[in-house]
Amino acid sequence: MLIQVLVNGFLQGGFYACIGVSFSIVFGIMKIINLAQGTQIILGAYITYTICQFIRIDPFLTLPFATISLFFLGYFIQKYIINLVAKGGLVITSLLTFGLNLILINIALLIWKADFRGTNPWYMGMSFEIWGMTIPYVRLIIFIIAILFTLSLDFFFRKTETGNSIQATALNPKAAQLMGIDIGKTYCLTFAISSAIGGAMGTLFILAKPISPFTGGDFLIILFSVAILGGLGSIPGALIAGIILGMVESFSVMFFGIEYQKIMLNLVYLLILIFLPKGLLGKRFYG
Amino acid sequence: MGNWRKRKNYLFVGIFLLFLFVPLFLRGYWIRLLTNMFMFAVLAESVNIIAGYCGYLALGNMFFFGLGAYTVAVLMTKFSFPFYCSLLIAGFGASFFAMVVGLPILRLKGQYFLMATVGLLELLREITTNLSLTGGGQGITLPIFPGGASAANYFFYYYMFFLMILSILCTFYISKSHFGFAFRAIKFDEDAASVIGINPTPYKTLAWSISAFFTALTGGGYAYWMTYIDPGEVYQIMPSVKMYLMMVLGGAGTVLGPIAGAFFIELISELVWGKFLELHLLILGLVLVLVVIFTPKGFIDLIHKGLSPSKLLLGIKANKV
Repeated sequence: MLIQVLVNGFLQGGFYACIGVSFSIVFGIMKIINLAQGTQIILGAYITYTICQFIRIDPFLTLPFATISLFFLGYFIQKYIINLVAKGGLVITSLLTFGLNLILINIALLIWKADFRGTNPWYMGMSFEIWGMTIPYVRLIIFIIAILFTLSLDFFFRKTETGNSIQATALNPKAAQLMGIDIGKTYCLTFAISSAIGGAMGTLFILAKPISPFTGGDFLIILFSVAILGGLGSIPGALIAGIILGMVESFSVMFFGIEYQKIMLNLVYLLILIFLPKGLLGKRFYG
Repeated sequence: MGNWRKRKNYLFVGIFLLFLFVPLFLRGYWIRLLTNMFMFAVLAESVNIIAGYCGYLALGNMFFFGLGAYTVAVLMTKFSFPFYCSLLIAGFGASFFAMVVGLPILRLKGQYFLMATVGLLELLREITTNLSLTGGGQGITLPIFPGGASAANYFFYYYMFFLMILSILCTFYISKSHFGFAFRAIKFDEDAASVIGINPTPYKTLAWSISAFFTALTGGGYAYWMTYIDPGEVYQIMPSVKMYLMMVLGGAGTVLGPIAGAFFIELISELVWGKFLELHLLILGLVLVLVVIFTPKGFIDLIHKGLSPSKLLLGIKANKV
């Protein structure tokens, strides 16, 4: 029983880590709290849903479509809207992303209505057993894809030139500009990557649970907690944080019951903020 | 200049008298609309005290509203307290809560404080949903105001109106007193403020508890006015964001700016609600986006600078990357 709960938390944690990373890079690099990230995830899920409605292909195959379309959406949002106020400070950027959130929710409402939608592939309920644990195939694949996305993002940031330029911009925008980095473009790219990962995670999410246009709000606390517990913009940190949160969630279900799951998550989140605001692997840059 | 000041005072007295006697000539819908406007004006003003003056962005400030609403509701139904008594308990209880929670949370800065208040909002909503005392997710029904619907309309009109006047006076006093200077010093640079002898902690806590007091009183009045509340309704992030929009639109850190912003946004919301029910989130979102792009410092700043398009574009350039 205990080990089953542990595994459930671990599998859920991989997903949390990845959505947390998508929020954390925007937060860490641009100092913008993207309140629209939850809805971007939902948009990715809706893209999967729509494709599966029209041509009956496997939902996992729609992953590239959701990723690419959200990439372009994110790029345009950043280029034509957020970049206009990116230096405006916290109130301004938070209000802006909340406004975008409302717009995206309303568009989703107009297109897909307020009903809950889900995909139901044939392998949905199937699972295998190993050492007395039951592991659903879908959960395992979601976990693997989420971890792959997270690790490849880490690789991108550390090993490629574009990734380095993004990190340089996070460190010191002015100095980065002097080195010939176009900050506007870098911001666009960062936001686009964040949206793209969000879209991909949406595809994975709709495989596990049905969604409505308002589901995006439920992600908010998880996004916040992963970003903070992991440390701003730190990808390995977010990975650990996501898994810890997954554990917290599944253990609170085990010990207190499902209705206390959200209370426990929120409580843990607040305690993290109070006692560990720099996060597990958060480093302060001394640029 | 002196002449304008005198005229401004006459203007305020005129507006005050207008709102004082206007219910005599209006029917239910308009009275309710005005009550709603006053309610948001109080909320925007109380957010202004902590965010506009003190610079601490309590985006989840709406949880004081929920606390106030639930305190009044529970005390009136489960313990049959009279309304005013439970209202006072709600107001001071929320202030106390702000002090207790403020001790750890007000140490956080900027984004972290904002995110902590959002977390508190979610936490309180979940707790309220799971408590049996508060009626859980089903919500709670309050006793109906004695004397019928129209008496209730008048009562809550004047309740919200005088609460608004009280909040304006309080903010005015703060802006002129040494508290206001301390708050602004903290907003500008907390470390520098503590260097010149302002201990930030008591001032921040005071600002937040005043803000909590007014927000909770509004919530308590709202609960009795609506006679039904549920956790999903009173612990929402949306009205919080609206409060910030009103504050930014009217001018953060000014006495009357948030009030004007509240009236403007509520009128727009009302029109939008009536005409385009399906699009109201979209329109509110567009207003948010346009306001922060074009008037990040509020209408007052725009009027001071003059309304020419070139200056508008110049304003955009200031925040552009």
